[in-house]
Amino acid sequence: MRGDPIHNESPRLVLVVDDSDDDRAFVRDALRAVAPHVKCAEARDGFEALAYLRDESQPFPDLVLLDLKMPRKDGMETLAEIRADSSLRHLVIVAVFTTATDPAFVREAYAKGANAYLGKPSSRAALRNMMAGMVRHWFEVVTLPQ
Amino acid sequence: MAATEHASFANLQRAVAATVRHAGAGGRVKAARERASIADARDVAATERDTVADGRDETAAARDTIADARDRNATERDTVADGRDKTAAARDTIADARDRIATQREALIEDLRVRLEAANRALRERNSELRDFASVISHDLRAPLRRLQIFAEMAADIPGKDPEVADLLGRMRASSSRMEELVVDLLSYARVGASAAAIGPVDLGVIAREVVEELQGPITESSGLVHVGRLPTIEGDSTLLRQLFTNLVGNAVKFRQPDRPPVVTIAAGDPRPDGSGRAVVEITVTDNGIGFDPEHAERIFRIFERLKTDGYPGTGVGLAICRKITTVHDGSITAASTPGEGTQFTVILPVEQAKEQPDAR
Repeated sequence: MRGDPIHNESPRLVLVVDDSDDDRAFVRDALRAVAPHVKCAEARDGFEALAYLRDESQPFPDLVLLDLKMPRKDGMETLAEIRADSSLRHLVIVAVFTTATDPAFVREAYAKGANAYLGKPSSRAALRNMMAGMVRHWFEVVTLPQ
Repeated sequence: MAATEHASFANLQRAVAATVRHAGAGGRVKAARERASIADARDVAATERDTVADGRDETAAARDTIADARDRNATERDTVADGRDKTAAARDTIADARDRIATQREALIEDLRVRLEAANRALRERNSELRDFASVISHDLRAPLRRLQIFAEMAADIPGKDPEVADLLGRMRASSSRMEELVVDLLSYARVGASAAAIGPVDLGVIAREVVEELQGPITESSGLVHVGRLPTIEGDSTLLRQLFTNLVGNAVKFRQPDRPPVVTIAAGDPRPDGSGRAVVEITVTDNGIGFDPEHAERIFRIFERLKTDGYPGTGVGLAICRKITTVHDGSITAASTPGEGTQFTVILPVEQAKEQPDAR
């Protein structure tokens, strides 16, 4: 069932990039509930995200959950920079935005190299479902680059 | 010598003398006569001289006349040349004026074109600013609203609360859901103008039948019936026209009589020329629902305007979107209603869209 915890999985790491402490906490909360084997690293904007990814002392994430609207360096810019960096460009990036209602914006995210696009849900249950679906798709169905 | 000889000589001498005398007399006469004739000749010569002098005078006079005439001629020739020059100058002036007028006309046209373009650009910018504004407002309002909803949900999930707190949390969640609906609808209203560029042939019959299919849930639920008549194919944005039918049919089913299944009829007339000569089609969506007071026939198309708030869900954006969709297509929508009997919406859409679609993306 979607939303149920997934057990007996090898540990995975998701880098959650979002300027909102609350939104990062919601994602952490949802992942803990549906996929306890998935750990979170966090960054508050594109600069922090890129610094984390280029810091070899930090564990490299399996997936980046990237909010598109952030101060200093937003998601679109970060996306473009990751895709232009030969050591980072293979990363799976799931773009996240408050709404998924603007087709031009969604198109732009994919054009810049996002592997998926998610609209932020407005209920905890919906967010858990979404995180469960994401974990299942990227960590069970799809083979990720090592 | 003989005496005779001597006598003869004397005679001769006499004769000579006589002759000489005679001759002398005659000569005198002759001389006198000649003198007279010379005098005559002199007179004649004088006369002729006078005549010649006269002639000379006349010749001089004639020469003067000729010179005068020549002068006059020259003057006239100058005048003619002057005139010719003046004509040429006038012709140049006219050509100059014509050039200036042409240049001015071109400058004027260019100026108008530039101003029109600037006005157009300003309008486009304002339009896109407005769209950006609405979409930013919607996104930026939604982000904190989402969090509010999630926190309210998390608080509601905490067991062992005071029932009053639980009730307040429930109201808070209902209110924030309502606000989310408004924001989402505002966003979709704002987006109508942004996406009206995908113009192509649209079979309204196909669209209407698809919309009825989509709304099959609420239609069946209310034992409703939707008749789709013969509808034409027109030029337009299929996404927007689909939304138009969805909103109209959805409205008709929503505002049904509580004790009567909804019956909705979608019909269209043949294309006809409108006031300005372009071909338009008139589409009517008629229902047997609760209707409304005709004095509100215009108000219902305003955004967030709701005549019925008790028991009928919605934000009052649906008909505002319909109006925007018809406006974007250079058409119109009006409503006529009798309370308790039903409502008829009349949509007029041009068969063809103007070739130039601004702000295509």
